[in-house]
Amino acid sequence: MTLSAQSVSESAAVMVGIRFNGNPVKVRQGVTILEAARQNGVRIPALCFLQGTEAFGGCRICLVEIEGRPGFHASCVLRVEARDEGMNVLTDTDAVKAIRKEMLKLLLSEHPSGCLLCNEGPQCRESMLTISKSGHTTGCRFCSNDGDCELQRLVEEFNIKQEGGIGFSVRYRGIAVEREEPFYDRDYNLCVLCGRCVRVCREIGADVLSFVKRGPNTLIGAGMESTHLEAGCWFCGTCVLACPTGALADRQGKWDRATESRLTTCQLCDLGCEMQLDLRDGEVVRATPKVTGRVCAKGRFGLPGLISGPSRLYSPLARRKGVYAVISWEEAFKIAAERISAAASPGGGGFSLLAAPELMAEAKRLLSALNATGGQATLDTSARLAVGGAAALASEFKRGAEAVSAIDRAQVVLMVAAEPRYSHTPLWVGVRRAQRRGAKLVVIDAKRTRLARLADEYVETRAGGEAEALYAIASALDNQGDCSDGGQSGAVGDALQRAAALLSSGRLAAIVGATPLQYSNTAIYVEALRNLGKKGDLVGYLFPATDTAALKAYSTGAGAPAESGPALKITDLICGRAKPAVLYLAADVPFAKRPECGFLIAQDSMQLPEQLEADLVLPATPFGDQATNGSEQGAKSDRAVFAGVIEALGKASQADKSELIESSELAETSEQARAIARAAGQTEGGGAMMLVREISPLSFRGFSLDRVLVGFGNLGLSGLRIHPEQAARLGLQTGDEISLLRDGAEIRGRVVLDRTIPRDAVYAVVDPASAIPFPFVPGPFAANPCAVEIKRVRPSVNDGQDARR
Amino acid sequence: METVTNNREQLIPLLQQVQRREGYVSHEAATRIADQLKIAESEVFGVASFYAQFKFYPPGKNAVRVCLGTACHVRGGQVLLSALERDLGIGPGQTTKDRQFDLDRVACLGCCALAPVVTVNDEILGQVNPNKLSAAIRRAGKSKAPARGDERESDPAEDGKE
Ligand code: SF4
Ligand code: SF4
Ligand code: SF4
Ligand code: FES
Ligand code: FES
Repeated sequence: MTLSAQSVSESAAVMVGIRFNGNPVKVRQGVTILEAARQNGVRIPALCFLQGTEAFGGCRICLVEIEGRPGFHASCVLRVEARDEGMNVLTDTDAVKAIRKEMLKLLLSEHPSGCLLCNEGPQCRESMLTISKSGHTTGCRFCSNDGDCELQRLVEEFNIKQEGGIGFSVRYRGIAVEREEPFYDRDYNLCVLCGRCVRVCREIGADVLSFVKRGPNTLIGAGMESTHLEAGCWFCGTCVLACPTGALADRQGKWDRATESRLTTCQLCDLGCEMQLDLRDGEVVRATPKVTGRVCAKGRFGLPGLISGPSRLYSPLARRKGVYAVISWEEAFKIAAERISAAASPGGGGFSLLAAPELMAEAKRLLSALNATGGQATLDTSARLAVGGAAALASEFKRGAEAVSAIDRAQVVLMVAAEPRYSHTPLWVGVRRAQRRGAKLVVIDAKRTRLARLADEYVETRAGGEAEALYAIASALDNQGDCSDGGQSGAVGDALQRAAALLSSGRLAAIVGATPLQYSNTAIYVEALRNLGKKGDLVGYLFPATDTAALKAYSTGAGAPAESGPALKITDLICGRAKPAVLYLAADVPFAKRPECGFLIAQDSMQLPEQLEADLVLPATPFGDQATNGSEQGAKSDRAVFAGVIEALGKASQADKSELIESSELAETSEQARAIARAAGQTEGGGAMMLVREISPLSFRGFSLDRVLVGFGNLGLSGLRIHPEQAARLGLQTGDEISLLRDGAEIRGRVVLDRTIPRDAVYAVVDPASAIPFPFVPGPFAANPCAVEIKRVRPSVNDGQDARR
Repeated sequence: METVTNNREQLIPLLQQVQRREGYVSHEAATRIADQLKIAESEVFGVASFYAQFKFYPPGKNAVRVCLGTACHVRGGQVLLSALERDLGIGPGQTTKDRQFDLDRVACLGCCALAPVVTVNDEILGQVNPNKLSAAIRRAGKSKAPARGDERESDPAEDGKE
C-alpha cells in the first residue's frame, strides 16, 4: 500500500553520490536510505515502514550497515545528507542478515506462527482447492491474511522455517478478538505493533488510534477501552489496508478470497472516488480505494452490499392483494404506462414524479412524452430538500478532482459544519496535506469535532448558529468591517474577527457543510456562500445528489415551466397535502411509509421499506454493477427503465408543457433572510434543548444507506445524539427511549451519546426511515433548529451498564 | 488548566494535575487536555496509559493491595494476586465494574515477617491464604462502612454461585 503521491517540491534537489554494496548511485539529498534503495532497485526488507507516512523506526527489520560506521542503522529513518557523499551502504552482509532475522524472530515470539511454520503447509494449501462452501476457510485458519501477508513473506525471505524456526518460546497473548466495530474485526494477537494503523489514522483518518499501555502489555487502541466507534472513528478503513498482518480485517468478505477485480467509480457522492471491486463468483466481496485515503465509509464498506448485497432487487414486482408477484419487464412497463397515462389525462387525478437529480434529463423526456399525448404531470426531487436554497449555487461548487485541487491550491481552508465523518473523507486528506504545506484552517461548527482541535481558528457557535457566524464573517470580508453582526451565532466576537482576518489572508477554499442548508435561516447561509464564492472556491459537502450540476439545471427550471396547474412540492407530498392518483418514485424514495396516492410506482436497486407498499416495483442496477451477476439477473439501468416506460407511453414529442417548479420555495431573498434569522419562532413552544436536524451523511437517492446496508445501522445515526455530560444530567443513558416535545407534538427516538454535540442540544439525522420530520415540512417541527423538551419514555433494554465500563 | 498553552510537553504535567485534583483522569478531563493542547484524545490516553500512576476510573470503595516485595513474592504473593484477579475479575491497576474494589500490587509494605501480606483498606492481612482472602474480600464488599463489621463468612447460596 502506498499513499497518494504528495506534491513534493522537487526544486533545488541536491544530488548526493552514495554506494549500495559498492555500486555507486546518485540520490536526492534528504531521502531515507530505504527510499534511495527502492528507487535504485536494491532490496531492503521493511515492516513498520509505510510509504507516505512519517517513519516510525520501530521494527528494525530494515537495518543496514554502513562501511566505516559502527553498529546497524534503521534505513527507513536515516536520511542521506550532503556530507554522506561516498558513503557505502551494506544491505546484504551476513551480520546484517543475521540481526534482521533475529529481530523478526523476536517479533514472532509474540505472534501465532501456525501459518508460518506448520509442516503441513504445502499439503494444506493443496487441499484448500477442494470443493467446499468457501474454499479458503479450510485449513486451521485463525488469520484471514493467510496467503497474502507481509509477515509470511518476510519469514520466507529470511528462511526462518528451514533454519531452525523461531528459537524463542512463543507467547500467545490471549487477547479477546474485538468484534464491536461495524465493519472490521480487530485481533491484536496478530498485531506486531508496527504502528502503521496509528500513523495512517493520524494522517488520513479521525486520529483515534494510539499505542496504549507499555512493555509486554502494549496494545493498539482508542484509549479508555473504547471501541473505534465510541472514539469517533470515521470508518475510512485505511487502517485495515495499512495493517501488514491480519490483526485488522474487513468483516465482510474476510474469508472470501477474491478471484478477480475491476475498477469502478463510486457515485455515492460527487467526489467520484476510483474504487477497486474484488469479486468472487461475480459477487463483490470487497471495495478498496485505488488511491490510499481516497475513500469514505460509504464507498469502502457500502459498495459491496449496494452492488451484491442481499437487499438487491432483481426482478419487477407487482403487488396484488398485498402479495408481491414477479412479473416480466414487458408487463411492468405496460402497467406503468397504463396507470400513468390514465392519471395524467385531464380529470385523471394527477401524475407526480419524484426523480433523483441525475435522472432529470430522462424525467423531462418522460414528461414530454406525456405532453405529447395531452397529459399533465408534476416533477420534483427530494435532493432539493437536502440542498435547500443552495440549489441555485449548485453549479458553483467544485466537484470530484476539481474539489481536491481547489484544496490543494488554497492558502486558507474554511470548513463550515463539515466533519468528514462517514462521507467525503477524501477532502480531509487534502486539508491535512494543505496544512502540512502551511495553509491555515478555519473551522466554524457548533459541534466540537476533531477538526476543531486541528484548526488555526475554531469558531464555536451555539447549536444551529453556523449560518449567522458565516454571514457575519462574510460581511466583514466585504467591508473590511467588524463582525458585530455575529452576536446571534453564539460565537465569540474575537474568534469571528480572527477568522475573518485569516480568511482574507490568502487563496480560499471553503468546504461547505449541508447541515445549515436545513436551518430556517438557510437563506443567509446561501447569501454568505455567494459572497465567499466570489473570493475563492466553494466545495460542496454532503450533497446527496451525485450530480449537483443536474440539480442546478433542474432547479432553475430549464425547460420553461408552464404557468398553469398546481406545482408538486415534495413537502406537500410528505405532509399529505398532495394526493396524486399515480406517484412514480424514480431512484428517489424519501419515504418509509406509503405517501397518500392512488397507485405507487417505485424504482430502486435496493429493497424498499415494507410499509411503503409500492404497487409496482421496478428494479434498477446500481452503478458499478456491470460485470457482476446483477445485470444478468434482470435489473435494468435507471435510464433503461425510463426508456421502457416512455416507449410504452408512446412516441415522445418536443413540446414540453409540463409543470416544473423552481427551488425558490427554499431560497428566499436576502432581505427576507435577515428577517428569518431574527425570527423568534424557534424558541417558542418548546423547552430548553435545541433540536438540530441534519441530512444523513449516508443519504443516497432520498434515503439513508443505513436502512439497507449491513453494519451502517450500528453507527447510531438513527438515534437522538446528546453530549454524555448532558445525558448524565438528565439521567439518560445510551439506548433510552426519549420523546422530544414541542407544541404538543412529539418525536420519539433512542439516546446515542456523542461528545461532539453542544451540551444544550439534541442532534438528529433526518431520514425517512428515522421518522424524524424533515425541516420545512409544515407542522410544529417546521423550524430548524427548534426548542424542545425532553422526556424519558423507557429505559434502554440492557441497563446501559455495559456500554462503557 | 487555566493557562493556555500549545505545548505537547505540558501533557504529563497536566495529567498529573488532573490526577491529583480529581483522583483519576476522566474522559472529560482528557478531552479538556486534548482541546487545550490541540492534540487528539487518543494521544492523551496513549501517553497516560503508559504510566501506571494515572487512573482512568474513579477509585473503588475498597482498596486491595497485594504485596509482591521479595519476602511476599517468595511466600506466594503471586498466587494471592492470581486468586484475587480471578475472584474480582480484574487485573492489577483496575477497578471492578461495581466500583467496589481496586486491585493493585505494591513492592513492600514493611511487615515482611507476616508475608505474604495483603491489605484491604487499612486492614493488614498477614500470612493469608486464598481462602482467608476471599472471606475478607466478601466482608469488605458487604459492609456499608468499607472493610469494617464482622459478618459471617458467607451464605450457602452465594457459595453455590462461585
Ligand atoms: S477506519 Fe479510518 S478513522 Fe477509523 S481507526 Fe481506521 S484509519 Fe482511523
Ligand atoms: S494492528 Fe496492524 S497496523 Fe496496527 S500496529 Fe498492529 S500490526 Fe501494525
Ligand atoms: S467520498 Fe465516499 S461516497 Fe464519495 S465518491 Fe468517495 S467513496 Fe464514494
Ligand atoms: S521498517 Fe525501518 S524500523 Fe521498521
Ligand atoms: S515483601 Fe511483602 S511486606 Fe515486605
